[in-house]
Amino acid sequence: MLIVVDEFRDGFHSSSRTRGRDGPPPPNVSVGGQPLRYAMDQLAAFCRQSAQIEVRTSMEWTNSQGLAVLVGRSQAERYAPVVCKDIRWEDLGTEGFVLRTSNRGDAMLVIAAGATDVGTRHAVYALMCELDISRLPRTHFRISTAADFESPFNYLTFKFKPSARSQNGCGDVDG
Amino acid sequence: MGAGTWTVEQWKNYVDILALLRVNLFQIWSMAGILPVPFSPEDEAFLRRYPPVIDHAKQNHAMEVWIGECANNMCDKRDVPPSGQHIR
Repeated sequence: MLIVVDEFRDGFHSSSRTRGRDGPPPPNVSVGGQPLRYAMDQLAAFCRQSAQIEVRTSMEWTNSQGLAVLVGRSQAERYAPVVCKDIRWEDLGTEGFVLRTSNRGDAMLVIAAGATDVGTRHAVYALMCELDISRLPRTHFRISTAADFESPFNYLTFKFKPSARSQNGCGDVDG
Repeated sequence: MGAGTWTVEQWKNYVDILALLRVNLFQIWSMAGILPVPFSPEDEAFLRRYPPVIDHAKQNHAMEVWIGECANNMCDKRDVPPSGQHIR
C-alpha cells in the first residue's frame, strides 16, 4: 500500500482550528504537521500489523498497481481529478472530509481528504474506522474502571470493502 | 480511583481513542486538590504521569487540554495511607 501525502508542514498554523476563538491558534494546536503525521503513522502501523501489508509513504504516485491512499486535497485533485470534480470543498467546512474509493487501471485509489488539515486528519481516522480495526492486535490495554476495554479499538467493528465504489458514490476514473 | 492505576501508555491509548472519535478538547480532572500535602511518593508518581499525556494530546492530536479542579477542594490530612499497589 502506498500512502501519498504532501510534505508535512511542521509548525504550520492551520486556519482550521476546531474550536472557535478569536486570534491565531497557539503553536501547540497546529494541525498541519505533527498531528497529521501521527495519524498517518497510526494508519500505516495498523495496516502493517493487522493486514501484514507493506506500507510506503511518498509524495508521488506512480500509477503502480495495488492500493494507494491519497491524503489531502492537493493529492486527491492531482491524481484523481475526475473523482474530485463534484466535491465542493468549501462546503466541507473546517472538519468535513471526503472518503472515496476509485479504480484506476490496476490500482485502487482511496481518497482521504478534507478542505483543511483538520478535515484531512479526520479522513485518515475515518479510513481507519472503515478498515476492520477489530482485528488490531491486542495491546494489553487493561484499565480498572467500569469501562474495561481489552483493546482501545475493540468496541469498534467496521468492515472495509475494497470492491465497493465508495460511500459517496463515485466511479472509475480510468484514463 | 480507576484512572489512578493507568500507566502513561494506557493514557496515551485513551487519548488516541478520543482522537479517533474526533474529540478536540480534552479536560482532565487530576484530583490533585484532594491529595494531602506533602505528597506521598505514590501521589507524586501519579501526578507526574500527566505531563507526557498532555504533551501527547497537544502535539500528536492538536487537542486543547484543560486541567479541571474544584476551587473548594481541600484535603487536610490523609485518613488512609496510600497502598501504592497500583502505582507503577
